[in-house]
Amino acid sequence: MDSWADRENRSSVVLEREWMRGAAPLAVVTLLERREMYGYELVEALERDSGGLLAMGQSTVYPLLYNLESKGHVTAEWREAPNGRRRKYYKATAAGRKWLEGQRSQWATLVAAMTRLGVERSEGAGI
Amino acid sequence: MSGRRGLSKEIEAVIQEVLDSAHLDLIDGRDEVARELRAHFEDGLAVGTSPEKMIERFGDPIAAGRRIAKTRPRAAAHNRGNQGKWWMSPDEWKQELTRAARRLRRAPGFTAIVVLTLALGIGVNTAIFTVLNAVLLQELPYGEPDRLVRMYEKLETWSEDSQFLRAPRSRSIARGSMSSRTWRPSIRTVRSGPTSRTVTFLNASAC
Repeated sequence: MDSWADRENRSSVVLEREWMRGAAPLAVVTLLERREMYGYELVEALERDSGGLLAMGQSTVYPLLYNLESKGHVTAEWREAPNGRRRKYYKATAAGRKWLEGQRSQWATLVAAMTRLGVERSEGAGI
Repeated sequence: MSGRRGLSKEIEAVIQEVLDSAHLDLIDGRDEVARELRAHFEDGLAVGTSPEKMIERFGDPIAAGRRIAKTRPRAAAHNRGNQGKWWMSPDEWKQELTRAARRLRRAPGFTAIVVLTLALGIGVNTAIFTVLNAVLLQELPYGEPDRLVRMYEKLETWSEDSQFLRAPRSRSIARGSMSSRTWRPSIRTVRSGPTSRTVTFLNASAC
């Protein structure tokens, strides 16, 4: 597992709050579509798999999960982990997967439109 | 120093702070949130993160509590199957109403504004309905009010327009005591704007 110092050096880009608000639910359901996870595992995976870009205050993930749960995109279940501790595991529901498909489509459309507009430039040129 | 389940007192204090600012009831899953947060810290400590670093990485507990206050009750309602549902059982209604009453008690300012708004709305509506009911809906306080007419008189010698017949003269006509005049009904069509009505006139002439 990466050290805390490694994590702190990983990403120098900090997403603005609005970007984070839009991207985080999509990222969480994407991860939970692959496999079920418990809260701490999910926070770690978000940070690790996004190269540190989606690192968030760890407390932020729980309201996010509760919100997705209230919309029926994820479901949760308490189960005993291999180490004997009980954890609450979250996974994407069928409705969540369907929502994710729609979000992916919108994401691809947005990226394509922004690219056409010239927002995305070659690496090193900056925005 | 360790608290419950081996968590430090500092971590337990953070969890308590989250729960206090979230203001959750049992029905919202307060105990479950507490268990989940404890599991979160235990998982972090189990992989070797220090308690201080866990607290730092957790973030502001009050802000977390406020966010949980907004989201967790909705998730609990969804899990109970009560979200957006009105055909709940009496027990479910009782639970929801109890929960709503508790939440209102915890926010007295908001409750006062809601009660005042409702009171004002109900009061204004009652006042408007009372006036409309008296003026437009209720019958006039006379027997056979649909036969009530307003009478005018106009003598051929008058240069001015017809005049509204005052009560004494109306009563005289009704009693037929104005024997010095002959009252002869005539039917005419009166036009007023785009509409026209057929009206019966009583033409009077001196005998």
